[in-house]
Amino acid sequence: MHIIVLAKQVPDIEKVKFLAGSNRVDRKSADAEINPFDLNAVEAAQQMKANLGATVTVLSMGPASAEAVLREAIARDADRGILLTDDAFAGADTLATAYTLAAAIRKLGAFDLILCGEKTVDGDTGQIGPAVAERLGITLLPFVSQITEATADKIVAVIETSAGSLNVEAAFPLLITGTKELNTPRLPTLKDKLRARKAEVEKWTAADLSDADASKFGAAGSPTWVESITVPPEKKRKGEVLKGEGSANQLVAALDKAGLLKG
Amino acid sequence: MGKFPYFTEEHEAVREIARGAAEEFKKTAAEADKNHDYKIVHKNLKRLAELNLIGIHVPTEYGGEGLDLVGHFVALEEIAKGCLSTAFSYNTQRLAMDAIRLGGTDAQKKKYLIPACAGSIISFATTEPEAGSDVAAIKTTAVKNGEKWVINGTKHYITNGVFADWHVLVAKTSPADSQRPEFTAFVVNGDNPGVKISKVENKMGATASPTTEYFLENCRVGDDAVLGAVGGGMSLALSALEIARIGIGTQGLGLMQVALEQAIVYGKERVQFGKPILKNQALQFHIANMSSRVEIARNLLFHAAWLKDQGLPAGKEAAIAKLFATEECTWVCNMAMNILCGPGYTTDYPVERFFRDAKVLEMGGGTSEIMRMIISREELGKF
Amino acid sequence: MQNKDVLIYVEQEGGRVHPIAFELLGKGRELADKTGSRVCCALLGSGIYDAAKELVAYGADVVYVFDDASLATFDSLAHKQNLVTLINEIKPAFVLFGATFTGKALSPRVAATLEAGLNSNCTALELQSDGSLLQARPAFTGNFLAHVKTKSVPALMTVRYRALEAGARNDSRKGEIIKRDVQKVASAIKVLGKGAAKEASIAAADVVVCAGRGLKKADDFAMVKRLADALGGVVGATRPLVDDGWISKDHQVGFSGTIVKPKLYVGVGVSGSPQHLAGMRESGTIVAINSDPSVALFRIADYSVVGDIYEIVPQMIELLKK
Repeated sequence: MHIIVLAKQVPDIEKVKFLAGSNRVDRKSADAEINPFDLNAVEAAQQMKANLGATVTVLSMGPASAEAVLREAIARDADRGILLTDDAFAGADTLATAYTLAAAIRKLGAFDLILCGEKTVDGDTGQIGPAVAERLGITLLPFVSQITEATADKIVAVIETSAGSLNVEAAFPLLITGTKELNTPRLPTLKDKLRARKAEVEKWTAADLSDADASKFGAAGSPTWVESITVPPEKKRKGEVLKGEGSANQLVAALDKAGLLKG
Repeated sequence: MGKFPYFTEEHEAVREIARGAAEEFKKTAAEADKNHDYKIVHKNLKRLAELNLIGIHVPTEYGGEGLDLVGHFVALEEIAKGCLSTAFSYNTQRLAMDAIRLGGTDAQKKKYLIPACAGSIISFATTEPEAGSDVAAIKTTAVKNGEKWVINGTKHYITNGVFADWHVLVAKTSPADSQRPEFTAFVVNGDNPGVKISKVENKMGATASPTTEYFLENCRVGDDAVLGAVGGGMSLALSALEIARIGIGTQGLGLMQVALEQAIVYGKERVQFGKPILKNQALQFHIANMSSRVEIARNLLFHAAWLKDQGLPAGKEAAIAKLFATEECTWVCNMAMNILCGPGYTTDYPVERFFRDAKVLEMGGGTSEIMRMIISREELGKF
Repeated sequence: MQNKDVLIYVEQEGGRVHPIAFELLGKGRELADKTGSRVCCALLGSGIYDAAKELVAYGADVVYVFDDASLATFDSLAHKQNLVTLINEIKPAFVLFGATFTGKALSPRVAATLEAGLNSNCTALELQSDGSLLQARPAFTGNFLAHVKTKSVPALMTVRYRALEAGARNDSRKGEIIKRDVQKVASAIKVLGKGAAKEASIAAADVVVCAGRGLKKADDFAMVKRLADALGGVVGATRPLVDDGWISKDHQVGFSGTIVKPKLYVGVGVSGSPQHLAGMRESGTIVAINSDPSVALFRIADYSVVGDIYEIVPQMIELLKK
């Protein structure tokens, strides 16, 4: 069985700042880490490998520093880590990123399952999983909160939908995006962490994806772009005090208007 | 924390795993402390072994990770932030392993260190009712009788004694009337019928780290239980203790930081006289004083550890680091208690536990007075 | 000549249109009126024809109805196929989706098929002088606001619920309702049944309803749970309630328990000790319900309700049922 995990390196969300007056992250302002949702995907792969026997390949697209993310995965039993890194991939929006990842996956050959996080904590788009599934023409199981059962050819899972949680079953090949509820990622041991430091991380460039259309990589393949970044004003608490007869009514109305009630 | 010249990427990897373990231990720290529950500490030590954090500095051929003391103390600092009782026991486990690492034969190192890295517990005993700071006053005797050594005596205040698989202990091996007493270190099996665990002390702090008294009653061991040279027990013990002293100080460093954190979090929320109390400059200066002590302690401790890793003399530096970090840890915990005041005095907040835990660090691994003796001797030389 | 039509994907469940569709129609109507173009809706499902009239009342010029048993349960592939065929025919400039589970699963598949740009979780859409839409969307978990543009035609967006305003409903408005041939696509996903809603950990939950000492007895947690369920959230507790054994430590909100940052925090009878405040003060919106108006939690709340929790909470549960 071959499982592919898609992972992304993101900055520490609490600390990150942007370079003054630009749209680019100031990489010195915060440490980088593996996208927390992708860590859940890595854990799911680790569990399935232990239960069913599988090879796990982790794939990431990013700058050279994103190698660290692949090492995190290797410390957690991933067999192979591949970093797609090339100036040609830079500036990619989600369309170009998904295109590039799909091209790399095609090059990897046969697979049964692709696992990725529901979204990244920096981009917050949640688009990559469904877009990659579409590019590869495989079944999409989005918002999986629990993998109930996995066998050699199918998955039984709980998915979150607009209609609530559903128990579903789907055959491989398929792509799963996992929510934060999917599992609790375990701590790797020091031995595994030190071993991963020395492990080989393969690096693929645009030249390695020669079967793909290079005009669809990077900024060139991106129909969307960020014009500017603003910092929302410091949140001031409203301090509204509600008393008396209609206060429950007023509160519920206010929460509804703010979009905080279930749709 | 700023960048340090001693910290490599491997040390950062250690810190990350140790921090994760500390977060786990933090969840049961209050319960362990309240119930003096050493089973929780025992479980935590096994978890540290599972994560490969017991033998960080032990050579790989003896089951360890082959890193250095700096690496071990990075982990110890993190564990102290989660549960001081666990850290105290963790430091003593390493102390006992150091005695074997420094004095043991290759066969002994394989026999004891490999299982110890995997979670077997080893205790370390010099202290007796009549021999605390005055280590040379040890009364426990080991007398060669044919092929066996026969050990008799009492050891007390021995960390981890109650659940140890092996006990490292120092006994007097010179005749009773000899002018210059000689001591030898031994490794005794926990299930040796001559070892009788007597009790676990009820302590003010570090309550879940079991401080044990045990009796040796005609305890028989073979020559293979002798650790290091016959007669070389005292210097072996003192070498191991010099390292342990940095470990005690490192626990103080960890504890100081969590006390400071509590003071900051509380002080930013607690409103008196119309504003958060940390808006008052007097309290801000307390925070500055606490923060300064953390930085100084960190620099002293890791410098001393680095010196030891380089094989350079570090007796004075280790003593200064231990003295400063532990006395100032008590000071920081006391100041945190001042800032939290009434609520901090209750068990609603962990600060009262930090305050109680801190004191033992001034005592273990050599008292503050002994540290001052060591430092002044270094300064004054033969005088 | 490229039109400036807006196509809205309308999400529905059991024949009931998701109210976000009316908000998208509000914006669509505004854009269409400015550019002299049409607002169209794509409505997919089974037995949903009647809902089309509601969409016209909220501003749709045309509603394309895909009504077939094969569309009874949402399937991203089936909806994608039918929607893409429609888009290729009518060639709208903008396609809007709600940023819901459905919209987020479907829109990237549509975008990838059309090789079109898609921006998610938009909170504002502003028409520019060159006819493009400047889209505002939160990034970095809400710490920043990104202003993004799209050059593809069509340009796709998913929009946050409640970010836009629905227009006024006008039942006398006229619009076309067109039945479309449905491409039947067999779903590869077998639905076995309703899943047990897995309780989110308090650290990850979007909504936390936290009880404090104002709760008189452990059994009253049932009421707190009903409010949490009604809000789609989880139950939290302050330290004293955990110490008294009323609820497990997993639910403890505070610096010594779990630090939470949900979109909505509701303190029920919580006074707000310093260590509790430190554990929840970064919450998106803070609601405090307490009979004592001098409690510390009121100082950092967005909405403070002065009242008896045993009256207010049941009232809220009733109102939320609707």
